[in-house]
Amino acid sequence: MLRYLIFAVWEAAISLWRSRVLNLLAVGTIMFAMFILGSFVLVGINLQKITVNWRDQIQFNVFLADDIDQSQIEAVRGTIEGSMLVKSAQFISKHRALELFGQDFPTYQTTVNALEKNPFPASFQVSLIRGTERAQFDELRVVILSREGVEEVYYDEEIFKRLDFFIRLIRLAGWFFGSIMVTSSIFSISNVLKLTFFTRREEVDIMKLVGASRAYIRGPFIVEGILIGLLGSLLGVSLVYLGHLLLQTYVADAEPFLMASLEPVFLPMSWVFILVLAGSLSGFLGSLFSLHQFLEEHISYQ
Amino acid sequence: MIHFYHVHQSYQRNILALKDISFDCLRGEFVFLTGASGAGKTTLLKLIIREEIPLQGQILVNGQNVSSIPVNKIPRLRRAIGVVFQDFKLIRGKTVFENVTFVLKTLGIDLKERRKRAYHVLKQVGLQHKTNAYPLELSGGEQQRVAVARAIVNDPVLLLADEPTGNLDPDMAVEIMNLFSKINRRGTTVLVATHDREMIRRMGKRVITLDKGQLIHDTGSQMQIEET
Ligand SMILES: Nc1ncnc2c1ncn2[C@@H]1O[C@H](COP(=O)(O)OP(=O)(O)OP(=O)(O)O)[C@@H](O)[C@H]1O
Ligand SMILES: [Mg+2]
Repeated sequence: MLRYLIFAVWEAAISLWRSRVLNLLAVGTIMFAMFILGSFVLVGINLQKITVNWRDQIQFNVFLADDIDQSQIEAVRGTIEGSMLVKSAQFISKHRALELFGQDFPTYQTTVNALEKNPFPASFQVSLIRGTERAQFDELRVVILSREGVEEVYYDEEIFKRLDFFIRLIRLAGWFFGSIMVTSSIFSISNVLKLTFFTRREEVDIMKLVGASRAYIRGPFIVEGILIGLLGSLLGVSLVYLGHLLLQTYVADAEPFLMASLEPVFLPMSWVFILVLAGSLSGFLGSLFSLHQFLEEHISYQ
Repeated sequence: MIHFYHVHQSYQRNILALKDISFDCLRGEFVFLTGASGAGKTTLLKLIIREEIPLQGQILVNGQNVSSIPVNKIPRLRRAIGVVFQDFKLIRGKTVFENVTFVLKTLGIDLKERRKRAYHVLKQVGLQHKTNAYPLELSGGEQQRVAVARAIVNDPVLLLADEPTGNLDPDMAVEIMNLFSKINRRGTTVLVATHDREMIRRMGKRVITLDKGQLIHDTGSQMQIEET
C-alpha cells in the first residue's frame, strides 16, 4: 500500500512537471478560486469582529431609577468610567434632563412645567471608543445593568442591525461566489486533466497493453489532481494572507492611533484548513471526472 | 497454450479480417505466423492479448477464455504475455530503462532488481549502453530491440512478436531470432508474425499461413522434432 502510494505520488509529480504549463493553468484557476473565496471569508470575519463602523461612534444612555442615592450613582459612574471601552461619560441629573428637554422642545415647556413631578430620569450619557466590538459592548451593558439603581441601558440597536445585515450580505455573497468558484475550478481541473490525458493517451494505452493494472494507471492521475488542488489552494490562501498584510499596513498607516481591536485579523486555522481541503477535493473530483470520461469512453477494453 | 475455435473478427461490416480461424498451439511451441500484408496477423495477435474481442468464436490463452475474462483480470493476463508490437509502442516520455521496467515497477519490484533485470535483457538485445536514452533518440532497429527487451523482461509464459525483425539488419535479425529460440528452450511459448520467408525456412519451425483472413496452411506441431 505504501509502495503504491509512493509510486502514485512519484509518477504524478513527474507528470505534473512534464506538462507544467497546462498544470500551471489548473493551479492558477484553483488559486484564483480559493483567493476569492478566502477574501470573502476574511472580509466577513473582520467585519464581524468590528461590528461598529469606525465612523459611527456608539453612544448610549444609562437611565437611573428615581430613588437612586448618591453613593449608588457614584458606584455606577465608577463602573462606567472604569471600563476600557468608555471614552467619555456625562452625568445628567433629573433637573438637567428637564432643562435640556425645555431647550430642545420649547413648545412643550409649559406642559412639562405643569406636571407636579419631573418625569425625566437621571442618566449617564456614554460614548464608547471607536472600534468597540459588539460582544464587548454587550458585556459592558450587562455589567452596568447589574448595578443597583440602573433602570435601563438604552442604545441605538439600528447601528448594530445595519452592520449585522451587511455582514450577512457579505457572507451570502461569499457562499454564492464561493460555490461558483469551487464548481468552476472542478471543471477547469477536469478539463486540464482531460488535456493532459489527451497528450498521454498513447502512453496510457501502452501501459494497459503491457499489463499495468487500473490502479497503477489511475493512481498517478488522481494524485496529480489532488496535488494541483493542494498547490492551488495553498497559493490562494497565501495570496489572501498577502492581501491581509497589505490591509494591515494600510490600516496602520491610516489610523496610527488605532486600537488593537480594529487591527484586521487573518483567517482562523480552521478556515485555512477548509479552503485547502476544498481545493484538494476539487482537484480529486476533477481528475475523477476526467478519468471516467477518458478511461471509460476513449480507451478500448480494460 | 493458445486455442482458437472458429474465430471470426471484423472491423467493418461485411468485411472479415479473420474468417473461421481454428488452431491449437501447445505450451513450449515455437510458431511462425505468416501471410501477405493485410492477411490478419496483427489482428490475430490482438485477439490473444484481448486488445480486441472476437466477433464470434472462442479463444483460450494460458487456460483462460479471453473473450469472457472479467475486465479486472486483463492486466494479469497481459503481464503473463510478452509482446513485441509491430509499431513498438514505446512510451516517448520515458527512457529505455523506464520503458523496459515500467510493469515491473507497478508490481512493486525495487529499483535494484529492476536495474539488474533491465541490464540483463538489454544486454541480450545489445543495447545495454542505451539504457538512459529516450526512444526518439534511437534508430528504428534499436527501438525494435527495446520492444523485444520489454517483452522478455518479465519472463512471460507466452511471447508474441509482430514483425520483430522488420527493421533489423540480417545479422541482428538472426541474433534476435536466436534469442527467441533460447527463450523458447527455457519453456516460453513463442509466436512470431513475419513476412520473412528466408527466416522461417532457416528456423525450421511450425508455420501457420493466413491469407485474406483465412488459415490456409498449418505445418502442424513440431514438438517432437524440437525434442530430438
Ligand atoms: N483498426 C482497424 N480498423 C479497420 N480495419 C482494420 C484495422 N486494423 C486492421 N484492419 C484491417 O484488417 C485486415 C487485417 O489487418 P492486420 O493488421 O491484421 O494485417 P497484417 O497481417 O498484420 O498485415 P501486415 O503484415 O501489413 O502487418 C486488413 O485488411 C486491415 O485493413
Ligand atoms: Mg500486422
